Amino acid sequence: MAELSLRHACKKFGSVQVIHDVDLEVGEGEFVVFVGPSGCGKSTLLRMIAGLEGISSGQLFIEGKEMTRTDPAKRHIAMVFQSYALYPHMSVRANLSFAPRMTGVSRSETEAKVTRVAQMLQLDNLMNRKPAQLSGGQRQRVAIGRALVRSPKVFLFDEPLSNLDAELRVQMRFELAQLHREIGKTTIYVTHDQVEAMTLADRIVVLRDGRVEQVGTPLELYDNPDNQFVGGFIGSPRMNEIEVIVDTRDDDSLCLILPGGGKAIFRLSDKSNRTGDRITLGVRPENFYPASTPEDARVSLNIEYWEHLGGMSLAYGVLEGGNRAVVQLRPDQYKNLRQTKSLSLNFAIENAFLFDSEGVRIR
Amino acid sequence: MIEATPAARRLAKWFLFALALVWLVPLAIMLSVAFTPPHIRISRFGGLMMKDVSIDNFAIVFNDAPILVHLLNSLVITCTSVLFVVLFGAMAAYAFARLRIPGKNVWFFLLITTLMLPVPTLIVPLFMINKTLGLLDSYLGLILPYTALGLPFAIIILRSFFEALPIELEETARIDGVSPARIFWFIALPLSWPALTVVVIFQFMVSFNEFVLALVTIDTDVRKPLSLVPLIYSGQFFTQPGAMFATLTLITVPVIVVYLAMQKFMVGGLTSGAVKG
Repeated sequence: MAELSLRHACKKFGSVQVIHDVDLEVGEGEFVVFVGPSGCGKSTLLRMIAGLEGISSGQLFIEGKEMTRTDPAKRHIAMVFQSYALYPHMSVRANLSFAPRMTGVSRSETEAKVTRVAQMLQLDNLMNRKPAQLSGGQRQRVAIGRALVRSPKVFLFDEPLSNLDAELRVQMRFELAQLHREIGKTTIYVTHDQVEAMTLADRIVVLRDGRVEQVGTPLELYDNPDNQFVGGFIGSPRMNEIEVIVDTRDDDSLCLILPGGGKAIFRLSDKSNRTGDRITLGVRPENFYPASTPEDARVSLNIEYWEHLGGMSLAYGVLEGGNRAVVQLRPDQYKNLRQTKSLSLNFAIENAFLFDSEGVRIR
Repeated sequence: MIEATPAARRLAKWFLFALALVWLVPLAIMLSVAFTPPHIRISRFGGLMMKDVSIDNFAIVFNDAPILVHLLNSLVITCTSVLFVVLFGAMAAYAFARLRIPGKNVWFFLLITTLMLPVPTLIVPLFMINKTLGLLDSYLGLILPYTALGLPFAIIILRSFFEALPIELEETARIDGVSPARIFWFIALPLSWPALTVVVIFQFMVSFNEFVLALVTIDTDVRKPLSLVPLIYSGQFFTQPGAMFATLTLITVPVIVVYLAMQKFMVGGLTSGAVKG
């Protein structure tokens, strides 16, 4: 049985519909990440699960019980906010023990829980400090601790790492993943950072304009995006989206004219495209490689600048035909090309995607 | 923001300094006359040029008039109205800020309009109401009107403060199962100290110094608040300006004490650390 499920969940603010017919099943102990660009409705969806926003139509079930209209307090959830939301006038200890104390948990039980959580999150030495005396990472740990103390069935995280600096974010990400492994609770996590989504999630839910675009494991989404949006959103640097023209088509293949006039033949049974149609070719930056001979080259990239990240180098530029593109090269590949202004490139056809004019993947 | 030039800033500082000095003149005269020995005639600069200092005037006041009784009257009336204004004002303001009440903006607008009425126009109606309710010549006859008159200001100040509190604090508590009343009491209220302090000081000052309504409401001398003392004893102290000014000095002390005691709470930044700015 799913720990949490949403059925045809919709949300309207007045006449504006912001969440459209979301169906989702989250298994027990699963770590699910909602990801999408700003304004896609991921935080609203999380708040609907929390009960902080009403569900306009549809249903929410937690552990098989309908909770659509249940008060947030009775949903057995705990939420960690982006802004930490620590009570500033209370010490760390008071922050952790506030909810149990207010809900009638005995003093000794509260004390035991708080001590256990404080040890788990290494907050023991900070118990008497006020939030203003803590660093960003420590505050976030207290916020997580406050959620843990309640022993909820489902954890909700609303962009919890967005306010931390890059280094701390990586560290906290690691700690969160470890924590989830330790306690094994069902977790729903909202982020706009696809790297966070890829590294933390058992499954990712990609949202756009209040609709679920695709649900899958990180590698499923990376290797098999359903559409151009998911393909572009998952993966960093972004997938290259190159406009190509259908040249010829036979029963099981499609010949495309690439920018600059090169050709590529794809095995494809889809017959919806005709000669002259414009479709989109999706190639991830690491799937490009420098052509060994002029005959081997499919496209040519005029390099505008390089980014060297140590383990890899990224070449940013414009393809013949005007599409912008980024190519990821290993240091040994880059070594021979450092003076190059233009790169002749090939790509592995089996790793490339094709999207029709609506953005739906056809291969 | 446009930065003022150093010269303009210096000029502004001197101008404000001069203005503050002018403002302080009556206060300085009050203090200097009060502390001038009773046998010395007040002559030059309204008594500002003091030749000698004594507290004899205060001794006269304490001997001739039951000042402490009047002070107690004032404190009972003022503190009760402050307590009511803070309690009811905070609850109403929180409701205005956070609850979904139909037509709440209309109610709020009505509240604001009550601030537009000059208090003297209310004296006769308030007197009539007090008379009908049998509250004339009682503390309640002042406490209730002071509370009613103080509430709109308190609600306006506190509402905007509550609205500015990070909503996540309350949402976290809500998810954690804390009741709205406890969220108000344990989270919203303790974080509103700066605004509550403003309300306390303002309400204390207004109630403590109020004169006209006290004059028409309280008849018995021993129930009269401190603000009426100069009037009660004006005949007695007519020939003793030093005693009169000593009385005025004594009236100002409680307000200043309250202000000094409360002002440390007025500094903002109480919510720092609550949410990342």
